[in-house]
Amino acid sequence: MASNRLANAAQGRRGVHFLLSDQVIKYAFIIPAILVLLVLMVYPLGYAINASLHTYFLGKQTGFGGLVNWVNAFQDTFFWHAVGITLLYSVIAIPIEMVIALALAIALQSISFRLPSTLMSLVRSVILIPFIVMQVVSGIIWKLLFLPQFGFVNYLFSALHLPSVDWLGSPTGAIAAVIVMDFWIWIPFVFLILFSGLQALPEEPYEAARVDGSSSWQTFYHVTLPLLSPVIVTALSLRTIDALRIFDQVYAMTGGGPGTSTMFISLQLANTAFSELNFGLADAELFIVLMLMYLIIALYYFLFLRGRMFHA
Amino acid sequence: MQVKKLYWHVAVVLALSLLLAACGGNGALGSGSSGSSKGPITVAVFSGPEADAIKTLAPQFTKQTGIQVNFTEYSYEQLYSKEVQSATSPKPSYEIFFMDDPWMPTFAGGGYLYPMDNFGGFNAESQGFAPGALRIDRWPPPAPNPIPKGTDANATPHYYALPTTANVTMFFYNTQLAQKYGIKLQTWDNVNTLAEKTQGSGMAGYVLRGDGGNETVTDFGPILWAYGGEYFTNHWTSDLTSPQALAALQEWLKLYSYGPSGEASFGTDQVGNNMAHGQAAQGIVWPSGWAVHMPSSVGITEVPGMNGKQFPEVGVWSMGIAKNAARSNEDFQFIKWLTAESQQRQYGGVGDDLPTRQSLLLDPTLNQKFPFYKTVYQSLEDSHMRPRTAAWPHVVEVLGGEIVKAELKQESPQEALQKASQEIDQYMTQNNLTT
Repeated sequence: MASNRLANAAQGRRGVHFLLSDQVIKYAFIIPAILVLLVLMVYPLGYAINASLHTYFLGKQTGFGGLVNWVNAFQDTFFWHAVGITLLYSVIAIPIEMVIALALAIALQSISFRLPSTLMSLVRSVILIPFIVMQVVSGIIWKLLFLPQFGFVNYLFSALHLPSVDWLGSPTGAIAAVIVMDFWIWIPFVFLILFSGLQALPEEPYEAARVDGSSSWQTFYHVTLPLLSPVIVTALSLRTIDALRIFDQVYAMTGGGPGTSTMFISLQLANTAFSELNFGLADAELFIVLMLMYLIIALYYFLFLRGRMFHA
Repeated sequence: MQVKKLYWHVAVVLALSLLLAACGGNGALGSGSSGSSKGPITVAVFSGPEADAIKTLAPQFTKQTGIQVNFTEYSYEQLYSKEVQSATSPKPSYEIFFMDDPWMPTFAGGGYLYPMDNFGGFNAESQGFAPGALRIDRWPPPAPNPIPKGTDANATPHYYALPTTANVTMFFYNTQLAQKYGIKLQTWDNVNTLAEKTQGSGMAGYVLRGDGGNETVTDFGPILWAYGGEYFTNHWTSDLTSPQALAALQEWLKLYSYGPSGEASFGTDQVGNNMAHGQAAQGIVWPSGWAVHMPSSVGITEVPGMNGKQFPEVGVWSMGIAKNAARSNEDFQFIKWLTAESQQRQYGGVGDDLPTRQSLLLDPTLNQKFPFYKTVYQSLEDSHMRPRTAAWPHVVEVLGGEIVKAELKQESPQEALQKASQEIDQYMTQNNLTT
């Protein structure tokens, strides 16, 4: 009996000791954050999965539909048209933005040593202004700039003796207008990431390249690009995710028109969910877009970070 | 290591529990009992001229009754969506809905509104509203409008809202040009003639809302009906592949060709501004919010027709009380007060929000100030309602999109109507709306 009591007491002390150990305290501090993440991430996903398995009419759940929303999603021509338009815009806009932003970052990096730091900060701040402006406001600004009769862009065209373009009244013009606006908003963002990456690169490989007598192009291709590739892939991934989610600026500028020519994925999903109130179909399509995003990002990492493109 | 395993297991169990909890929910939009609430009456309204003058009167009501009224403004598409979500939610966000007339099948037909006679046997028909304005609030809809599936055609009709702002498609035109060429704009052929004579003058012969969706389809309606076409058959299948519908779309494309550059992106504001600034000779415009701002060179008349008949399209805004409202009696008190002659005379006297009472639309004093009021009344009496189906928001998206493709020559008119028809029929079948 005494030995049992002693054994129990020892076990109790071991239990308390266990609870107060560093291991337990360490995890106890992060559990609340994990719980919050689970609630904010897992619960909405589960809810969306549930909704995608039910049919809706005018916002009311009308019954368990199984995979009917998923089947309808694959047959929804409006949705796939939106996916096509979004991918077209992404394929055109993103590479150009990456190239221009990289060129800008390298140019600024090359002169950064010669300029006072306050001036450098000022230049960086000015470059970032379009990115800081609210995207809805950007949409309105560019809508006014692209007005057929009173817009500045057509005024500029006429001053240069070029024919005026019906920017927002034709599908090609509207997509071109969105892309131009996109450059204005997102090149500063990509520039910021790449410039920060350039600033963090080590000096030693460059010194070695100079000693070896490498030309500027050789240094750029064999030193800068490989070293910068993780940052480039990060910028590319972030930019791609944002491109697939484009909404505010297009909603303000074209509303998805003319017709459905700028009805990007987010606008189409918003239309399905909040205008037609078909939450089930919208959720199913949402997951298809999510899978598409994962595939694209995975492709980037597979292509660029397995050393296939750049060789240090 | 064992601690890590333990916490990993706990995290997985928590995640699974949350996932299952989320899947176990039947959706936030299920039915439920409404709780009582104190505080102001909440009203969802359109963020446009159709509701501006109304909002300014609310403080008077508060002063008289002590009941606070709060308005929340939304864009057209958002307003419909927010009101449906509120109507289907156990905890409503709004007690009073400001509704466009094509939404009545959703709200009245869906059982989301109180009938007006629920409040002490209130008789909407004896209040003096213009008949053309009041009938849009009746459910089941009056003949000859087809009854949607699931609605008992023999059920006693009730009025589920009161008309607040009169609106009906009107024809705005340049009076000097019409006089110069001696053209009376009673038929679409007359409109074409004037538009052609305007070519080369620097003024567009006709301007329309070409950007698709609700705006395009609304402007298309009077032309469709004038050419003898309809949106639906009596069995709620699409009737847009008829020769009459094709002729109407061809007329639409002809009118589009007379328009200014960029017309495929034009909405209400662009059309109104083009007429107000003398940049277009003719166009369909809503009188509410626009007529009072037109210069004297712009005349306002009933929408042209064919064969001696005109087909204006009604667009009256009404206020109804949500079935899940906690203070329905006070809500009724407010909308009854708002639509009373005294209040309608106040906001009708401004000219942006047109009154819906017959006596005011025909009032000599008001007509002296706003000569178009009498024409609006006549148009309301001659007007057609858009199809009374809850599928209408989907129809306008589909048809509007196809009309734009035809405008941009991406499709022939036949292809556009064929595709629109197929999509509409598929939607009606999927949602069990065909009879």
